[in-house]
Amino acid sequence: MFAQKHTVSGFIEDASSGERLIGAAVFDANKITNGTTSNVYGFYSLTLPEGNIKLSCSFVGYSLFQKEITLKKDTTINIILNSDVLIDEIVISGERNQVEDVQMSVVDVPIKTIQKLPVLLGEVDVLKSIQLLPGVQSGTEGSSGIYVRGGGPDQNLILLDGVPVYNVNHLFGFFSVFNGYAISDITLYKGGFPARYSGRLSSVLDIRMKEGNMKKYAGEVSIGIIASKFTLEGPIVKDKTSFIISGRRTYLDLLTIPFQLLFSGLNTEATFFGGYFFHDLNAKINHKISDKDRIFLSTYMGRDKVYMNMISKWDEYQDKTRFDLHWGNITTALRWNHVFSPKLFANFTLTYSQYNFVTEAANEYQYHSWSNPEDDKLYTSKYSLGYFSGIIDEAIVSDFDYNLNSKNRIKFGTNYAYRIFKPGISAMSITDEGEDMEIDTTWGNTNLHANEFTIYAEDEISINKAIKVNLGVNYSNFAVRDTIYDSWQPRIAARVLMSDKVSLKFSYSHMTQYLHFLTNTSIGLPTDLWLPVTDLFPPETSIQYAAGIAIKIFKKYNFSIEGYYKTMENLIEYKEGASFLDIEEGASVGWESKVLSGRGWAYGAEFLIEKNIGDLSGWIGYTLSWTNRQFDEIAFGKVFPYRYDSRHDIGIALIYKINDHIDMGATWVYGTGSAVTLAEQRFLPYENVENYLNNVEWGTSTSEYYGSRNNYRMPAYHRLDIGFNFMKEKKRGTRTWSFGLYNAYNRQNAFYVDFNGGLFGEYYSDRETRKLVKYSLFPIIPSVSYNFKFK
Amino acid sequence: MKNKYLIPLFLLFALITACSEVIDIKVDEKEKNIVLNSVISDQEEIKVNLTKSIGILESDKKVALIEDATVELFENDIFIEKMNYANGYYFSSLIPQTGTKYTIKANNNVLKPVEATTYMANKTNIKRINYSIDSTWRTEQWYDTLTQTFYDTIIVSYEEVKILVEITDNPQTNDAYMLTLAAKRPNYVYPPPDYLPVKVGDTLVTIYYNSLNKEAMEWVNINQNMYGGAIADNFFSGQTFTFSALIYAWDIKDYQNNTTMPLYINIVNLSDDLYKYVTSKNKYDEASYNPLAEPVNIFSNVKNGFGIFASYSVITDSLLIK
Repeated sequence: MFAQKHTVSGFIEDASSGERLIGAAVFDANKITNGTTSNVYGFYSLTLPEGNIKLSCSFVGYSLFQKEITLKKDTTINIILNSDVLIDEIVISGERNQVEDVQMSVVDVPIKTIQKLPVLLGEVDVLKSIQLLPGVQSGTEGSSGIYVRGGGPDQNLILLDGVPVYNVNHLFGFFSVFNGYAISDITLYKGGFPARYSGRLSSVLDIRMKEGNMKKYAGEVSIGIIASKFTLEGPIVKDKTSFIISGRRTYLDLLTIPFQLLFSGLNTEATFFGGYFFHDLNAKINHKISDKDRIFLSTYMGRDKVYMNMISKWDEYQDKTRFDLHWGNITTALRWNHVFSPKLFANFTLTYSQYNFVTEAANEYQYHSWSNPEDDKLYTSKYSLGYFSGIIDEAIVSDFDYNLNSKNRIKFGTNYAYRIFKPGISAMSITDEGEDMEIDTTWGNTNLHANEFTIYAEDEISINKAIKVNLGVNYSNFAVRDTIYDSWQPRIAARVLMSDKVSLKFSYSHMTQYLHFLTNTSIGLPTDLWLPVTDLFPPETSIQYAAGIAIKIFKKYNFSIEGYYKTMENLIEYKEGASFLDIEEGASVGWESKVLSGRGWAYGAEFLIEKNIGDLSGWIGYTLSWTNRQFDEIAFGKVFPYRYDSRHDIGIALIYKINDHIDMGATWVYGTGSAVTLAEQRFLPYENVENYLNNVEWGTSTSEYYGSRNNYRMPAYHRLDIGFNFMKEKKRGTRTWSFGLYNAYNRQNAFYVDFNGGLFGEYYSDRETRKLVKYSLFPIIPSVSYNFKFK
Repeated sequence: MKNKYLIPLFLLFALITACSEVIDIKVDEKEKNIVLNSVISDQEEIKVNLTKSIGILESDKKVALIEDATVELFENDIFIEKMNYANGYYFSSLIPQTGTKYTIKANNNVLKPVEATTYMANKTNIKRINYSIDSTWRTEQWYDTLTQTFYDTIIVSYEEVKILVEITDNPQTNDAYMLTLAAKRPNYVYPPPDYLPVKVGDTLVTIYYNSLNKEAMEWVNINQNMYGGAIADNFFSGQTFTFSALIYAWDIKDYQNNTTMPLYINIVNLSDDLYKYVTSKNKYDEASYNPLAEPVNIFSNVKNGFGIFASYSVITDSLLIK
């Protein structure tokens, strides 16, 4: 006779801040195979047989929670975890139990880790830390771009509190838009995607913002070389409502003001001010309506701006010229968590995401009438010119977690998104008093409107103690320009437990992407355009198979090997000879004549060893991979390597706690050089033969032969970064001085290679002196920052 | 509105040049190849030019003729003759026939032997030619730099001739079609003492025209005297197609005698190889002015080498515009 079963459920919170903890393990210590983890809202639900249980909860950095209860009915237990100073070692990997977990190809990177790792100019960067993981390529030197398992930068679904972020770059990609001080949790999915995620082919990066301290006020300020940051959080109503606000701004432009003033002071006829900055602001309010209901309002606003102002004066005349180039994201999420029953948890979200790119130029000057010398009046003439592009995404989302029984955990939900694509509108305004002229006009591309509806369901089934599978399906439907595209996307993941220390894993996932991304640079220019699918360029699709093994060694080490094979269809690439410079007026339709549709495939193996416990912690990752593309009209249909095809990639991240006041971080990366297209030989073209034979001086130049796209490898990339953090307890908090060395052994890595006379070289007239040169961007760069965390 | 890109490019340039360090790196020289160039027509004997490709770091001056190769000509896979070298070309005595397959094999015992095949392009009949004359009034502004003002517009009149040339595609072939226009322009001398013009002959001059076709037309230069808009037949396979061209009336007027010169209308059939070559070369040339453009490979049908072996044929009609 089977024992009756009941459900124990509740939220897991940090005792000191009241923040809900994501991914904490909850289990019956008497029967350790019965367990679950808290979801992204800190909710858990565990169905157990009636009787005595030892409810336990563990999360790295916290004391183990244990409570013995007699389970006779459905019970709610909210678990409060205390931070354990005795085991407060630096945490490298998340708490996800790699052996137990059915999910594969997923990595949790705690923000504490990211804050300890050395980075360029001391700016904590979420995406740059993720680049150190196996299966993730980093793109060009210094950039925040991530290329996952052979996918492009557009194939990453990057979610901030569940809201898609369309441009993740500050300063042309050298920094990402995510402020490390406002983030609590980061999860990267490289494959085996759960059915709840859709819309991109290659990865999902799920970033969660902090919720704000429910117990007490706390704050943090940080001053670095290029930017300063602040974070303030605390209860609005203790244990009921909390807030967090975090902002940062670069100040290179402010630092140059004295020099610009000095320069302007020397020139009485003209003043010039110009500069660049970026800033961003994260804010969140979190209100507990009841034990079963909670609402959150979170927002992110970020902007990059380049500006130039020039004022010239002579006699009574004045000429003002202004130029602005700015771009940025705004994302907002209004979320309601509701516990319908101990078995059913629901989350409803309204989201808004906007990315805008704006160029504005304006001029204003005074003049006297040209035609009437008698007229003393000073007339003003003004003109302004602007260009605007971007994307707006509004969505309503519902997600449900249903703990059907001890063997079935079901997730299901829907997502409706309305998108407005703004491929580019120009506006011009002219007013001239003297000529009595007034023009105000706009032209360019009409906005495109699209609707996407998604429904999904997944069931994590425990077949027996050893075998667990996650079966899911995602159906999406995308309507644009009177055409409807739809896609069924099955997802399967399975885990076979060989012992309590070894498991085998398999996954299959089918993904569909309804957005194309127009870019042919690798540097994240703000001019890159998102556009919807069309009849000529249908949705991009991918199928990924993965298999792996996860092993726990000596309790301290996690070791995993994963192999994958991924095919991608309907990818787009610029045609030979085309570039983003060609995409101008008519971009919403004209772009189709500049690009091609083709296919790609990637396969490889990833090795990861992590050590989570002890004074020395960190990971070593190695990736062996191949990534290819094939387009009928590129290189005569030959298969060519993807630009970020990298045969060997190594990422090492180590953190060593020297004592309670000093820790050291070091990262070393190695990667096969990026593939670039360079000419192999030159030859006399047909039309120049006559000139050549007649010794005509002009018109005898040779043409270059490339062979294939991406036919040349840049030199291998490697770099060592080192950082030290010196902490000291002060009366009001903890002070930390951080010193870093980026590129510690001053490796001159290639950012760009070309024959001299190329983009950044001097024009050459005599090829006798021609050379292949590499342009290196960042030499050894020291950094220092000061951080104070208030108690 | 390309100006919007100038600023990001400028900033990127400034950033990179500010921080960059230029370092020479070694590049492996590839094995050299034979470059075979020959575009044949049904109007002259086949001739082939052979040169040697050069390394990417070598000067254009290093281009060298290959004068000692064995060059063999095949017609429909049957050996015809060994071609003879003279003045930069290997010559055949054969004038190609339309619809026939030609193969050239070249070997100089040093570089890899090369081989290329093409079909002599067929001729197409011109089905119909029409024209109309129109006077177009255009407005122009001029700017006085002294007063920095746009002054009243000037009205200018141009007399234009619209030419319509209808052809039918042969569905059996895979050619492209090009329209070229030419006129015999009279040459005058002005002898003293009265300097009255005396006609001393004519020169056939190719006329540039504005294509009014909205289809995927490509402006193609076969040589210095043969250029015009071309279209691949896959846009109208087996169907009729009408070239629509606009020329200025003064291009065909002899103002000395106040007469109109006959307009020669050529429909040039380009073999598929030639069309691919010229269109890819156009893209290559355009891309060379854009540092961010994806590189373009120039089409070649020469196995183990570079260059092009292709064909064209011409059919001509004339029109006297009154």
